[in-house]
Amino acid sequence: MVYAGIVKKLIEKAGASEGDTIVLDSGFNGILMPHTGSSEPDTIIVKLGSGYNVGIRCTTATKVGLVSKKLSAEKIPEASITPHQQKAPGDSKPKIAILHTGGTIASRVDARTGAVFSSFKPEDLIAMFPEVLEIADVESKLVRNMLSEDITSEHYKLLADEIARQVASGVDGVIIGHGTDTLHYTAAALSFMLDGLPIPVIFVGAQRSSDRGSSDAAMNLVCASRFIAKRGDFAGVAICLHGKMDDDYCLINPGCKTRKMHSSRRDAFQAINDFSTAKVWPDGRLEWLKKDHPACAGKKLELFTKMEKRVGLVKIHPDFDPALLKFYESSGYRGLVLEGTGLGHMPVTELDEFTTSNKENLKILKRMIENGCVVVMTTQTIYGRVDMNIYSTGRDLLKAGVIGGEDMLSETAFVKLKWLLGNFTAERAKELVGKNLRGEITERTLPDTFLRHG
Amino acid sequence: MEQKLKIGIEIHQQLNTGKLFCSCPSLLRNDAPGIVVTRKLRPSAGELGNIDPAALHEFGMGKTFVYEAYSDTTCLVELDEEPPHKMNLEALEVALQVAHAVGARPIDEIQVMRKTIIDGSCVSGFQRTSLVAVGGKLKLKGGKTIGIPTIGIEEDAARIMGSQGRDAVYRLDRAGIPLIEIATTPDISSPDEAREAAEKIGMLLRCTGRAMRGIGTIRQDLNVSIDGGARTEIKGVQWLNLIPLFVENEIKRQESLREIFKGGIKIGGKKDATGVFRNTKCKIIADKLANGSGVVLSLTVPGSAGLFKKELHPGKRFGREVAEYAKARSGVGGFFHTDELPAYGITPGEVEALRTRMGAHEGDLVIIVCEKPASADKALSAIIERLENKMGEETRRANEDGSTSYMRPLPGAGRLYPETDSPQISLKKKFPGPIPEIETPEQKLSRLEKLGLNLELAKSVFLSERADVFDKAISLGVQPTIAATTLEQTIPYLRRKGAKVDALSDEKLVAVFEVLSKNSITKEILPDLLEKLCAGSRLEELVATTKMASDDEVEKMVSQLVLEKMDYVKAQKERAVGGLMGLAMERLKGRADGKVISAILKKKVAEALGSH
Repeated sequence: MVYAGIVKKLIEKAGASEGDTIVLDSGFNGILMPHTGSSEPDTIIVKLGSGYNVGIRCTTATKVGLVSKKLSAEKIPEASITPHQQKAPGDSKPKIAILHTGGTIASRVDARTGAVFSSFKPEDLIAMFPEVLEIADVESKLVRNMLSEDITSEHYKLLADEIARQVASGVDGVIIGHGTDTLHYTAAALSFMLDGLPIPVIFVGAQRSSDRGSSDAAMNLVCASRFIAKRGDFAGVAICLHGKMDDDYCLINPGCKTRKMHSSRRDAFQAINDFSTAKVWPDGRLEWLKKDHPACAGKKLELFTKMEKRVGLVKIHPDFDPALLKFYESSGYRGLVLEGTGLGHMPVTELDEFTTSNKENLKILKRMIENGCVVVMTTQTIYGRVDMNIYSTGRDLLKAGVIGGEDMLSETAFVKLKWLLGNFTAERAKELVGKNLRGEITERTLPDTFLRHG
Repeated sequence: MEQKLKIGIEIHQQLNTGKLFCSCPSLLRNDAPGIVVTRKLRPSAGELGNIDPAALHEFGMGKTFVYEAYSDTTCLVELDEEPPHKMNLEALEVALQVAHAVGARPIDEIQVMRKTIIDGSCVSGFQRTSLVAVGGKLKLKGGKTIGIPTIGIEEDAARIMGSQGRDAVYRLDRAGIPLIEIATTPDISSPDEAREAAEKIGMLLRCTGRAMRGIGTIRQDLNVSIDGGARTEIKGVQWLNLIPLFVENEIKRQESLREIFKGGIKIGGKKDATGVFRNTKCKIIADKLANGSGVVLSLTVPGSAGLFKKELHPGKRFGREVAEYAKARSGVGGFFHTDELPAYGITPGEVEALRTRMGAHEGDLVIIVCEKPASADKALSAIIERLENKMGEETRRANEDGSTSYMRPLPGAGRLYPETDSPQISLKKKFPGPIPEIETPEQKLSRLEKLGLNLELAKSVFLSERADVFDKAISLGVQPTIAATTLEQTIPYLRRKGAKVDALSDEKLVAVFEVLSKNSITKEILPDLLEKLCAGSRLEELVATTKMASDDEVEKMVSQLVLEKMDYVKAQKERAVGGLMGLAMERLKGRADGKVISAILKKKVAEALGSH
């Protein structure tokens, strides 16, 4: 943000710019800081000698004086940690490519401005996470620098192509640094795009930014590296973040059956309707929790990277307005994932004078399906399996052509449907959407997969 | 005293407004915590450019921090599992009230900053702090004025509960409690003036009505420097009365060090002297060598025999100073030196052999460290650093005996960067109206004096850790002077006598005043009763055994006494009342009011005389 109005004029008159040392007639003396978006427009931000930032309100009568210009060469010095890279002869560390997309895991703070920024030169990475170099030979690459809520399916393709290049160059594993908000969407998308993936592709994120001492970023990254080093025959897409609130171990969670279950805790990512693949400790210990992990034997990587944009994800709720469905219909959507209530329901029955519009819902869905739209039902309970044969509502939906999504997460079903419609015919998509392709659907719902912790 | 002596104080006072960045209560607990979380902290590369040496040191030691929390009075904010909520405006208002009282200028738009702290006491790795007002003034006795350059508000750190090997255990009940931070300019010129300034500020804080009370709720940091001495910050002085002692000791320490370092200390050679101690009877060395990984590293300090025996201030020798520094910087617990040897099982022969090995003479000081090679080397480097006085400004811990110990280098301004999770606070928006003024210390004191307390007692009660108990006692109907003398004189007296007065919790004391107010006990037995409570007796039992004697009982006892002492009564006539009073009181052990005893005694003596 830049200064405007009175403050801008005062600063200009003084010949000062951000980073210069200024003095106000009220006695405040310090470095002129950039205006933060949340500050009042008539407020000038100064960093005092003590290190404190203060906001001082100005009027046209305020006097601003320039004390000294900032040194032109002044920049943030590189961090002074040096990694202990000891390569013993015959030491065979795995080769890991770290692909960055931005997010909390990579953020640093500019000491002068307080702004969060990301920088991905290899030496920055070494400075931030020197431990990783003891585990692996690392190559680091910036794919994009963005917050994960801005990531689109086009970005999935960029990642898939880069992973394919890395596989071809012979890396042992890929780590993808990703913002946590939509991390599980991207993980699911890459699970589908990378057919026959012969190596582990591990997503890591952080819930506390790397600029603070308590960041979880380093441990998540270290554990992902450890896992790749000890992967055995594991190949496939997984997610690696803290298993508990403690800095104890990370969980390797399946790419298609994991969800961000907490807005802020370190252990937000938990497997849903499934078990975690493994526990990994930063010191390299590994405990397999699930035996039937995807294996790489004799696979050849083939990419299917097209994604259908016109797929919707709709949450069902009381007072559901048929106009919402009409929008998808009139906009030509080719696929729709419903996040239904309970076993997979939505209001489709007219019971009294208040429920007359419900029939309209069913009518539109039926028409959409007849016209080629693929409609999949998942559940907003998050845990459990869809079953539309229990109540008449479900049977009505089935009769209309809605496909049950089994125990698939709604987010995974959404990504899967985009992928199916992008790469296959609608007919083929209908066949495959309810079938397990990448571990996104399990046949049995085991008792211990519900709300367990760690 | 030195010409260029500079003393400044910084006061931190906890507020009972609830926590600064979440809605948890300001409540310290001693019951078992239900939640335990372990974390590591790492120096974060980037925000400072150069990493705090102390931070890097802690990380190098691979410390694990154990955090204890409660499922009902701590939340995810303290656990660093949720961003801070908006700042507690009640706490901010208290800071603004204090600012107003010292004529400080509030900051128009307050920015929360992060202060990097990586010793584990802040779960996030930083403390949230903000500057609230600047440029206040405080008047001292004799018209002297000192500056109050800054008033801030910040969150308290977690409290340390102990350490388990390399792990440190912290409890999160204290983390996040608002602290008002008030600093003075370094214009204080004597130890007593430091105390006076601290007292003045303490009283002002009490006037807000939101200051927490009890041990540890107010903490004073002292900044001391003499001409030619490095500025030292002494952290965490908990008692006002100790301030002059700390200041005096620190001045002496800096003066003694200046003297010691005047000519510079020559550092000699470093050698492995393990061979000398192969068959030693010194258990500490033998054990470390026995497991195979230990070595004895030795350092000669030529011409410095006796150096470690030099006293810095009463109770502190230079040797201890060096040892504390070496421990803080290297983690190595101890070393031996020829100023104290032979001792600890090390024989004169071994000392001789050590001198020979090092090529050292009688007038030289030889230091030995027995550790794993890397640690021993680190310890010697730290010792040399201290001997060469290359450590700069430092933060020191206040010990209970008035001495201080090295903690870490004094942090610089670079430790602060903005807390991006907290929006700026515009005072105009959040406090559109005037801030309510607080009572002045003078007003408050005169109210206490009106209750019948003299000025000294009034001040004492005002600043007391037990001021809450005093208020409750008064509301129960206990006479103010009795409550005040009990709390401010009897209890300190019992402490001096060696009684465990820590056992007298606020709740217990209120219970005592309650039974007093119901006339179940007399004020005369209070000292005795409190002493017994300290020793572990239960209040109900004490009250039962000292139940007030009925008038009948007193009469019976007094009749008996008069009968026994009839000769004396006859001889002394009415004057016998005075003589027998003490005996009667003693026999009743405070179970009856003095006035009642006296009246009955008078009656009985008169009767006895009349019947003859």
